[in-house]
Amino acid sequence: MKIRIAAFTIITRPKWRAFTLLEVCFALAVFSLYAVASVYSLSQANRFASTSRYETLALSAAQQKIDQVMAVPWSVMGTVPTVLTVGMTTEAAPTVNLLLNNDPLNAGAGLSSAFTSYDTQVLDSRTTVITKLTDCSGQTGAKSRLLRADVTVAYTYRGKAHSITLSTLRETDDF
Amino acid sequence: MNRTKRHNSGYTVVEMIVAGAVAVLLSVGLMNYSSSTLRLVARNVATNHSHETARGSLERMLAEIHTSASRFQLINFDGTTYTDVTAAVSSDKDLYSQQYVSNRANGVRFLRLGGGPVKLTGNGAATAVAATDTTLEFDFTGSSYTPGVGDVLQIPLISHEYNITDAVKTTGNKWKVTLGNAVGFSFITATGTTTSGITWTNPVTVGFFYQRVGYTVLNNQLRYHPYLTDPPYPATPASNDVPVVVRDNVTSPKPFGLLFPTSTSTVTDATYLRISLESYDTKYSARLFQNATTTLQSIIPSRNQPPTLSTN
Repeated sequence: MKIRIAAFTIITRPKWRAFTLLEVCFALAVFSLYAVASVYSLSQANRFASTSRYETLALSAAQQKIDQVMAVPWSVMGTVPTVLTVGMTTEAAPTVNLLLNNDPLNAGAGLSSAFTSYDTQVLDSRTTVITKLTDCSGQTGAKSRLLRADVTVAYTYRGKAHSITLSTLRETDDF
Repeated sequence: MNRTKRHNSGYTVVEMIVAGAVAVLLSVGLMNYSSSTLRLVARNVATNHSHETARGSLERMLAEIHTSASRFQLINFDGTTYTDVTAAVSSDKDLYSQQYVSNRANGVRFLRLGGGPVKLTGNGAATAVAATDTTLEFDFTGSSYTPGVGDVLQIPLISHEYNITDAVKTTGNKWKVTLGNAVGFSFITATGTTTSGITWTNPVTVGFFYQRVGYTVLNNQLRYHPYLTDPPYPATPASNDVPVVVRDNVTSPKPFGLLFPTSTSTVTDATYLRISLESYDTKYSARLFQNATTTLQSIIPSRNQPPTLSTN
């Protein structure tokens, strides 16, 4: 420290030249807290990214059933297609093992890449509920030409249950 | 001037050793921390990239494939030439549909609505159209679509489809298209009397135009072909067949397949397209800390069932 007095300059010795043990401990504790918090938040960001990815994949599985409901031909004069049969249908293990983020058929020759085995498969179940609604002509029950489909894909990822539900209305192709 | 004496007596060996040890410990800690941070950030970016590839690809293909007006045709594209792939059933059972998957291909093509309804205005020379005419003229006012060679014209009134072999702009927004075959029917497109004696006032006959489009996977890219070269494929694809890259980081070599009802079926209706799209951030370099692959399975049907067009 320099103190300038008139024409004189006096260089005094600092009163202290190092941190105390308490200060060092406190600084380390603050840094550790910061480090742990940042690593935790980054890990959390990774978890969120993975969770979002599985949500997209589950959405695709639900969308596939919705597409099936929407696309199957259904005529007033014909029989009701199986996929539009009223009631609840569940596709789940052990009857059928639906997988998210994995396609076992991609293991075939010429269908895999160097990264095929890097996916993490998650078992899911898909539930479809078909309900007949009152249609525009007032018909209900079996005679109704309007139905509602609710498709729920449920899965467990990192010990936490997730589910996605899509709903749609479907009417006959003709009147 | 008065200067005090400095007391720089230096550190002892013990102090130096302790300080060095502390510095090493701190450095190792910082290195581990930095390494973990970088790894987590890199993996997050890579995960987001593969996720984004899957999500973006799905949204794009859903929108396009739902509007397909034809059956799907599998194709193989090697970067230079296309080859149609004959779909044959395999023993692979798809779990989501409980149907059997065909042999796979790296591409698929189909026809989608390009423009229409557009009003028929004559044969390009007159307002009346004779059954033997091979040209038709349509008014495309209000439509962003313009007809091209290889497109398919459908006239719902007569349930007929025609391949377009030439398209020329005439006046205003009108285009004259040359058909692969004679029209086969006669039309009047302005107020007048038909050959059978029926008088029409401002008759309106409309046509719908369909474009051949496709998706291919090549060089880790999912590509959309808005003007796919028409079969039978020439040695050199059409000059306007310029694919648009939908997403990169696609690592599945052959993601497209069709579905057969049973393992012994010989025929598929080809109205459901099975996609098994694998994506991985190929620029992610930390192989020591493996990043995950995203595998998206989807079966997307045309919403036009039965298909609007008989050809594809």
